[in-house]
Amino acid sequence: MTRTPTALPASIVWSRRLLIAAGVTGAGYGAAGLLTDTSVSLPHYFRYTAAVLLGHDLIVLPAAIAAGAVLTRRLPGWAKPPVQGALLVTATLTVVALPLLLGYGRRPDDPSALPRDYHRGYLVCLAAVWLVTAAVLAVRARRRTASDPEENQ
Amino acid sequence: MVRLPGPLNRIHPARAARLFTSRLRSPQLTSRLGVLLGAAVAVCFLTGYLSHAIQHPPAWFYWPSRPVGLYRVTQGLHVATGLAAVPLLAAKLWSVYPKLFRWPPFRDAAHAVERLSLFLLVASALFQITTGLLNIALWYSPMSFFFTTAHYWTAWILAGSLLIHLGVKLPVVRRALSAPQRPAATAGMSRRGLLTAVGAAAAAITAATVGQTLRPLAGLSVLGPRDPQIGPQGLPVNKSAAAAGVTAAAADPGYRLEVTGPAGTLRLSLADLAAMPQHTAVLPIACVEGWSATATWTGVPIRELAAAVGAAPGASVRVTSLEQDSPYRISTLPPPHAADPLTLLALRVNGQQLHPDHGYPCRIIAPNRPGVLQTKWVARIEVLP
Repeated sequence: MTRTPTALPASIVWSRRLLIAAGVTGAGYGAAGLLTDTSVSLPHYFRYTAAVLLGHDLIVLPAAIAAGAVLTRRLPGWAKPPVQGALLVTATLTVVALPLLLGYGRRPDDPSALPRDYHRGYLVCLAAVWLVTAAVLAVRARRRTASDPEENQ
Repeated sequence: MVRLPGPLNRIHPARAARLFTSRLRSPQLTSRLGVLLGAAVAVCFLTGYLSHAIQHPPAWFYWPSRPVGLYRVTQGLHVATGLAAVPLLAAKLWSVYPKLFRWPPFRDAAHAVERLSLFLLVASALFQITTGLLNIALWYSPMSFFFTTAHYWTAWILAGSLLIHLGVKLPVVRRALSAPQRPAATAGMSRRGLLTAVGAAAAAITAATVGQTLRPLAGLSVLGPRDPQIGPQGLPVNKSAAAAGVTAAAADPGYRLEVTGPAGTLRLSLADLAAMPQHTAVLPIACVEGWSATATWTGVPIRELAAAVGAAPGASVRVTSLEQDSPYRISTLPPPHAADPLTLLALRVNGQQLHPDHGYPCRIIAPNRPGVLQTKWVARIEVLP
């Protein structure tokens, strides 16, 4: 799909060249800085990056897709979208909350570091998300029975 | 979503991409998510570069001391945008996930280079988001490299590989965004539904965290890594006196502040400092980690201390801490901040003598400046030529 540059107007061709040239310059500057900055420990850096990339692509995302498929499999069509949306919100909220829930950043000498009860906070967030979802489902169910009673039989 | 694998022979590389059956995936969806994610990356890059330049100013760089809360806004935006980008990045990567298993992996050399740039893009995006999350949660052990410089250089790699990606995909994106809107024939969510869910996730994450810098929302932000009201004297602390190893030096009754300039050197005890005319300023502490809190500070204006040792107008002032082993032991107040009457050598906060964790015996507090440069436990003040 990206193989037909000859058919494109000149402005697009030049925009693409400029973007790619600027991108190569920026990424090259970052890579050179990374490789020469002695405060970055490169073996640790690459190990971490590989773990995050493979962990996302081969574990977290497939697990999320499989969980979504299993959890919404038996739902009727009208109920699926709100539940899928709520699962997306739940999953991404969990990513943000996880370092706080684990609480390794707490420090005995600093009561202002991670000062809240994050387990409670996380449950409050989940309760809010799923209460809204339940309300949306209730509205959808009522609208459905009101407008299309035949489909219910 | 996904058709769960039946017989194992279906999991052959040539067929893997066909396991993904959602009709929701399309260039239209990916382009829309990409535009939003690109905007988020741009905001993070610009605010992040700004924070870097304030701390390591290039020769051409100028940063004013007013408005007093500008850095609090730019850095609060940096962290809030990064957090809100979590669902955007998740949805964006989901929308193109089957392409990861394309077989054969590349058609020709040009395609191989393009896929290599995608590898850089995805790796650097995941790196920036996850290290940012770990850093605001103060969880450093998974990152056995120096976060600050690694996050900075990777930001350039992310921005660069994003521009390459945009250049490569520009025709696809233009076609997708100008195509007539046709609903995706899905069994579940619509395209608009997914974008709504991503927006809802970003809104929920923002509401749950932004109170760490917006005090009125502190009660709502149950997942804020900081609470602007919690800490010694009602103010958060990033490094305690104990962690900085200055407890004994700060409490020493023989403490003298050394003030050096063209006209000579003054050695001032805490009582000497308290006997000088005191000024009060209401200024925020704005941390690079995205939290901020306003307090009322009282002390001696730096420009008066500098004038007492013969500083010329427009001089910079270097401040050294009692703290020994820290990259932030020394900070330099550039001319606008050194001359600003609100820049104080503070002795008191919110009407009380400074708590050791807030920098007792005295600390720097200047307008529009990262908290990490607001040097605590000040030992020496030098007017630079």
